[in-house]
Amino acid sequence: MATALTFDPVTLPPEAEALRGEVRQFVADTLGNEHRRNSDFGASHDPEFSRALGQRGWIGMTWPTQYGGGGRSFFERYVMTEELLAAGAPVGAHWIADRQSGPLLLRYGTEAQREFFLPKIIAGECFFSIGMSEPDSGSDLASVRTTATPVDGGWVVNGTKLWSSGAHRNHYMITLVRTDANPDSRHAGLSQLIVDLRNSAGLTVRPIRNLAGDAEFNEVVFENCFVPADRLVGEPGNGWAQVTSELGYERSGPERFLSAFRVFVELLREVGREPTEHQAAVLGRMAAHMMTLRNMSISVAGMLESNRNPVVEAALVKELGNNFEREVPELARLVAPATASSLFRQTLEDTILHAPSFTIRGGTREILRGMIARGLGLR
Amino acid sequence: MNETTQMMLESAERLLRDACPKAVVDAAEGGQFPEALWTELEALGLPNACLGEGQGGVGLPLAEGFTLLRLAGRYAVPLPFAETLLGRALLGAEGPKEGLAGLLTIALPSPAGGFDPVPFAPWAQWVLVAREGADGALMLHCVAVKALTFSDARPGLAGDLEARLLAGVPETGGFQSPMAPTLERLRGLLALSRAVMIAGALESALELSVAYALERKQFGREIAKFQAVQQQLAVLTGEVAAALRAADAGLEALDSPREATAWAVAKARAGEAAGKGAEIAHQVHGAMGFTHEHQLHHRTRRLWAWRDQYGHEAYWQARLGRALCAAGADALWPELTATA
Repeated sequence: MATALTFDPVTLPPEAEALRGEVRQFVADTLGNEHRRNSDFGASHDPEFSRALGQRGWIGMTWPTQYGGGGRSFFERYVMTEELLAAGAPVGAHWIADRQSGPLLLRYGTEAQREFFLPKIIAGECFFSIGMSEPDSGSDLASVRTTATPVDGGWVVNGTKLWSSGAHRNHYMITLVRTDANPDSRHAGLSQLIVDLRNSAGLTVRPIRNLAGDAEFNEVVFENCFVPADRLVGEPGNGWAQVTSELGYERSGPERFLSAFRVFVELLREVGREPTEHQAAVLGRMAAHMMTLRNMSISVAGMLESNRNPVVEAALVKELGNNFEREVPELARLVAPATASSLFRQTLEDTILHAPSFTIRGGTREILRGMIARGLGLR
Repeated sequence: MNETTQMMLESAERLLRDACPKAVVDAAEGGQFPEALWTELEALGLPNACLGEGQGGVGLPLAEGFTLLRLAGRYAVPLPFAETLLGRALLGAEGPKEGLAGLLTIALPSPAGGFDPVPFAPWAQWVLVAREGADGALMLHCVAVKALTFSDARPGLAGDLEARLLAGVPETGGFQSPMAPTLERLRGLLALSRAVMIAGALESALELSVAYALERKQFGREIAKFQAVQQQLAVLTGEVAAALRAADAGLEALDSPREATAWAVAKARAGEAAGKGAEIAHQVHGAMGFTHEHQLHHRTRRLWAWRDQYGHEAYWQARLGRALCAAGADALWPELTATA
């Protein structure tokens, strides 16, 4: 239990703080002062912005320089991402490739895969989707039924992937498939394949509209879709371990408590310089939560930097962070002035409409609480 | 944390495990001064942890000495340990020497006028009465408790006696401490002390809850095996982790330009965790935790008491909120990420 509660203090190193100013300036120069929504909403896919970031060396910052990476620390990447998210920058296009596909290839990919994909990702020109969930496999990921059957020169894939964000416009999808139909255990016999979303026969991508009206996530149907042998990531049958490591990158970052940040900013603008006592308390409560969460999240970045595997700590950050970002619009609507601008209302409504996804994506609240309970020795 | 602090914490924990069991806390809540516990704390020099070496103290900085308060929270120490620890550090070289002997408590001017209730006034020998001078400087008066008039003492939520200071405050004189040159800093330090104590008590409440869930059987299995219980304990863990981090961040910020903000965050966040955490700990313990016989209430009643002392959540939240409003929306993110 002691490990789950120990979030050692981390002071961001000077080079990370120096980068903060650069990113802030870049955002101001590139995006100007116009109103911005939260980063992960519909308008967040912007290949031009991603390319501009790539030119700055801000994608694949922590990756080895031999592939064109920045060889920089997790702390610098942390600062870069939190600055972009807080500003509502359109980071959607390259986000998954930078956060988890690249690191996965670095850890498990072949040399040829690294040399082929990483420089393109780093340049902000190659975007990835996640192909994990299926119509009958959500939280119970080990139950996936999409199959890959070995054939001459590769694999033939059949099945359906679901909720794959950006698959309708990204280049590749790392797809979790069953390569062994009769494994020893349900966690065995899984593998990961890099599927070319733009140049594969037998592949259909259908956008699914969400309740907010966006069509961001997709159904991806494989019908005898051929994937070349050299697109297998890691060892056949090692998919479960690989997917688990990939999810670790997903859970503790600033995106887990900044999803509603623009509401906080715009509420402050509406309230103005002379808040009522109640408005001040609500704003202060948000700040107290955010500062504590950020502090915990940076501590987890420190654990990643020292090659630890902070599964429970990351789950705690996501649990607390998601609860907070769900709460922000709920608090804001009750203290916003009746005269609030339509700009504020737009930001608030966007967030209310997207809030149900906060506690589902990247592991549902219930799954994460189960992981924390395991850390407590309860299961 | 330095080696002296580490050793001090280890001996303090041994002492409290032996000298602050349930019976001692029960007796103290019944009005009996825990003489033996206090004598042992003094013998180990713990109340002098932050007093200068020149005055016979250990000379630890507050950030180190205040880590003792997490233990005071864990073991529900029924004494004004935080007030004595801080008070003696404030007396330091500037205050009257005699105040360094005996139990000391603090009378803090209330934002609404008068003074906050004075913790453990009936047991204290000395009261460090704080008064703000016309020039905004904070004057401290070390007054023998007998020279002051208090209301009748009441036990409060925790059973820790407190009383209102009614009269006897000196009009002139007093001393100034470089450690608390303003009322704001003194209030902040006391609020920080409660945040750290809350974190310690929450840690203990979580441990008790996990142990109970693993031991209590219903429907043929430990209640820890039920997902409904697991989920609640996971939520409790989150609150405990947040309170610990917020309180520690308050200690880390001591003497930095960000300290006032960090202390407001610490008290606001830990205070919130105190309420949520106590509720879950009790739910997991069922009727057993509602009995006087079980020790859980020694932690939870203090969580309920401490979250209100030296400014409740709304007080510190509003303070943070007003500062954000004064700076404006475009300064919000720079303010949240500021290091100096």
